[in-house]
Amino acid sequence: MQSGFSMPLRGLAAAGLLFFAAVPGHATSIGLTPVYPDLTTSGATLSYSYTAVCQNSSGSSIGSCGSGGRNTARWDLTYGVLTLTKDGSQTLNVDGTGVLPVSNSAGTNYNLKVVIGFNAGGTSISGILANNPGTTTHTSALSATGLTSDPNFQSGTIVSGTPTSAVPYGYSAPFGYSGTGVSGVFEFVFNNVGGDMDPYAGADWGGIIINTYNLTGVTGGWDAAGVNFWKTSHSGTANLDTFVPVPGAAWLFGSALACLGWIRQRAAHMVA
Amino acid sequence: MISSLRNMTVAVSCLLASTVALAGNGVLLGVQVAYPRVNFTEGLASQGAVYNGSVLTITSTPVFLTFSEGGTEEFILGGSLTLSANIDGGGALSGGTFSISGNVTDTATSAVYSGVLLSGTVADYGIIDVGIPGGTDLADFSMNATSGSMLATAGGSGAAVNALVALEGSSFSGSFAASWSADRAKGDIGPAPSVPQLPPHTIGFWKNHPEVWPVTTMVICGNSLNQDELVSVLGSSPRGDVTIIMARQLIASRLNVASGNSCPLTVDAEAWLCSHGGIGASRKKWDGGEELKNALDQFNNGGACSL
Repeated sequence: MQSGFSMPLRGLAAAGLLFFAAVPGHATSIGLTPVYPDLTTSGATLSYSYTAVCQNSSGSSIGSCGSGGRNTARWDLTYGVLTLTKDGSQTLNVDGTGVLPVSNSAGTNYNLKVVIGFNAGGTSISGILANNPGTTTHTSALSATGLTSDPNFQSGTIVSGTPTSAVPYGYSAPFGYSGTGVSGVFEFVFNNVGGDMDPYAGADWGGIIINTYNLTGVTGGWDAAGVNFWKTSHSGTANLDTFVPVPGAAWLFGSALACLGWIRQRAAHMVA
Repeated sequence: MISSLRNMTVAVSCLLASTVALAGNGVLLGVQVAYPRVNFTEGLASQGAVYNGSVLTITSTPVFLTFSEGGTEEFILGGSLTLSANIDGGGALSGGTFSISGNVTDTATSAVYSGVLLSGTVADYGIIDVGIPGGTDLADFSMNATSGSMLATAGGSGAAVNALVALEGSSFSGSFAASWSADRAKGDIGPAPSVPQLPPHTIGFWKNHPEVWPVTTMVICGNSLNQDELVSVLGSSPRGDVTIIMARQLIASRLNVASGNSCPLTVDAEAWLCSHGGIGASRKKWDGGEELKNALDQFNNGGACSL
């Protein structure tokens, strides 16, 4: 679907993206919509922990914030790690005709780790980073294992991949988060799709939607810039969807169609 | 000139269509789900949520039933779930029903439940538009059980039952003035937990009443602390160490926040603590943190959370 836009639509989609970019980018949903095959993981353990470091006025890391003087309050969040794990059952919906139970005899059935990096000023999220804050590399991992009765899902690994800071076509950001109080939604994309979902992955993109209703530690709220939200450590339980491929952004496609219709109507009117 | 204005109007409309929908709105009830808990997901592509202007109908497939916390997730065979809520264009609820059916066995007791597992009425609902069109929105429901083969297990007739529903692929835009739908509805249904909401309490209260803590673990400065460790901090003698003094106030404040109270200053308190070496860093000077500590102390004693 990502490659399904005609050229005029691509232009309109790009225009829509400019409109969208005027809004603080990462503090909202990016509008991922799940497709099939879709792995549902309920009751996963969610944990987000951040690491604060001291920096000097140029943004370089220093060993200690000291007490008083110029270093006061020169601490800053550098990166945080979001992990979701589930030891237990999951379900797989291959094509929308029914649900298959996914089981695994031992070990972690689902494991997701995403490292989120921040700009030196701590005022905006720069992307999904990994062990090298300040760059756009990533080493995060996703894996889900188990066996089902579907003949195409028997290898023992349902899906694996790498959460990425790359932005799928038509989307505004590599990830989204939005919520209120203790409830909210996280969205991530991943590539390097492996496991039994690989043949279904199309252009090698997958999506992850996480919803939670019981986060503790969100004392700073779901602020638009993400400073308060990502500056506190969170924990709770969550339900997840992991699916491939990532469809084209529905809202963008709809807006583009509406605007294209208007342009065509107007062009016809002018000719007449 | 008129044509130009019209063009501009349409262009602005396109802009607004791409931006206005980003704003979140609405409220959730904030309810939680206890056990036995039914987890549901979409089984058929035709399932999801539809609001037709007067009734919100949610259909999904119950897949797992967990009878107790940490217990086995029992697979539900042939399950179906329907939740209908009568909601007018202004968002007012005027009743509704829910029904969960299927066949499931509690492998711990060999008890078998079949047919309508649980049904009842809808008492209240909440919904928030957190996703842009096509994204995921969240809803929750407060309901009462009336019948079903699991009625006794769920607390008997009239027992409070809650539902948490993620609406994926949703076109809900914060209003019931127009019809909307969602591709998939996934979530959990189960009895309401019997956790009371508490007013703010002091360090001493929380130290002596761990049985009423709303949470039993906390992550402070990247370190996860269990309840025993947290109680130990609350009961420790600071001996002049301002990081321990701050940590005790912070832990009590977080427990008060988790009990339903609000105090955004806990963010600043943790930031101060982390930037001064964490809990037990043997610092003697407040270095600008004393006012923050006093504010948390005020909050923990029933006062305002303000500097």
